[in-house]
Amino acid sequence: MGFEEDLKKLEKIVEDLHAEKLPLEKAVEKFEEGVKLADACLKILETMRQKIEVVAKTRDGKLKLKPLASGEEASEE
Amino acid sequence: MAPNILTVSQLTQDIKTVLESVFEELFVEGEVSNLRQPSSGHIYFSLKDASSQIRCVLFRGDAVRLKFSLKDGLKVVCRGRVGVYERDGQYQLYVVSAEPQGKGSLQLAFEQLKERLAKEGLFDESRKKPLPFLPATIGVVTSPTGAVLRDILHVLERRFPGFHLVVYPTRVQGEEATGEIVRALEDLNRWENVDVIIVARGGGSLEDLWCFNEEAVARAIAASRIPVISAVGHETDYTIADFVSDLRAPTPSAAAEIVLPSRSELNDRIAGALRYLSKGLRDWVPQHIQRVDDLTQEMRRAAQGLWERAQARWEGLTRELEALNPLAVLRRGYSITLRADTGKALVSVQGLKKGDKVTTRLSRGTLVSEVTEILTQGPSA
Repeated sequence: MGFEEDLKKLEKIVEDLHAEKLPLEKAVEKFEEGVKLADACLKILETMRQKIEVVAKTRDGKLKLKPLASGEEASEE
Repeated sequence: MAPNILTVSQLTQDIKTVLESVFEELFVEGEVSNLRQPSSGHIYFSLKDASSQIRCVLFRGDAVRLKFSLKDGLKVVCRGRVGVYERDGQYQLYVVSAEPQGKGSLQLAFEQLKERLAKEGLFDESRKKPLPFLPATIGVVTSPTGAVLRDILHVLERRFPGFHLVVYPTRVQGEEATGEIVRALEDLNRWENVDVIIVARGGGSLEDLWCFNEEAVARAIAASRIPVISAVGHETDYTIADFVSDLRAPTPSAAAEIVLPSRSELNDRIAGALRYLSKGLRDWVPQHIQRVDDLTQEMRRAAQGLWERAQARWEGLTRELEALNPLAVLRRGYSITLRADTGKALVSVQGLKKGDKVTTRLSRGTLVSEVTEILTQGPSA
């Protein structure tokens, strides 16, 4: 999904901007790219929804996912 | 009295009966030698010590239950009974089970399998797959009950609210556990959505953890196209699964720490970058804007100058044109007379006759007159 690449690219841009070696036009370009990357990263994080599922077998042997019943995890072995 | 003559078979049968009734159940220690295992699956070897040896047989049914492999030179304690192989008149030890001397059979089995798989290259660093940085879905193969799953959930909830977990419940102890774990790994690999698999179990004895030392489990982990994190037992427990997996976590909780980054750390990193960029927006862009402003001012000044010059020139030209405009003369009381029929300005009476109509243009207004008299000579100018 490219999250790690995007985050690294973003941090590289900040580093480059911080070094202040870029000409102004290039810096503005980088700035815009950075904002886009940050936005993309945040969007990926925002789409992640907590879900806990358990693999279960149907009667004909097929696998399906069902949500983890509360309490199933709480009981001691 | 005639001697009681026996046949070879009778004698052999008698010896067999005597021996087998005396040596019914016994333990013998010795060193394995001359070991061979034909395709029948039965194992033939000798047990020897400094001065003696005895032939041994381990039938296939018992051989498969042996966790470790018998090897020449290995010192073992065998349990079994003495029997006679009538065809050869050979007494031998029918071994039912064996234990290596000095260490447990599981310990030895562990060492033997570890050595074998290492030789095969199954533990090589080059085989290890990198773990995904931000797995969208995490598979967990473990017991659905008990503390392990709860610990993993607890850590994930703290570190990364929003995680997606698929629990594949299996037994993690006992005979059936091995097959179930292998099956779970295979099933999860067919599942395209799982990005990483944690194989987990809580602490226990070597016997308790044994299924994670089974070759079938090791092979299933090695065959997984999805990266596998092993998290079996306590920090000090090492299993074959640990060696063959892509990463060994010391405990199930540690696996949960490793498998996902901290969400708040990620947010901080992105927010930090954004803060810097917006600071850049405040610093860099105003500088940029300032320059544009300066240029605009300059341009405006230049344009103003141009305008003023153009204006001045326009006014001058206007004045000049005004001076040249013949109509301006009229304002001073002069007038122009035109022939009404041709519209031509009259500069002479020639061609005019009484009754002709003329048009006279004044500074304000125009009038039409009829010629009533023509004087050949106008008043002197």
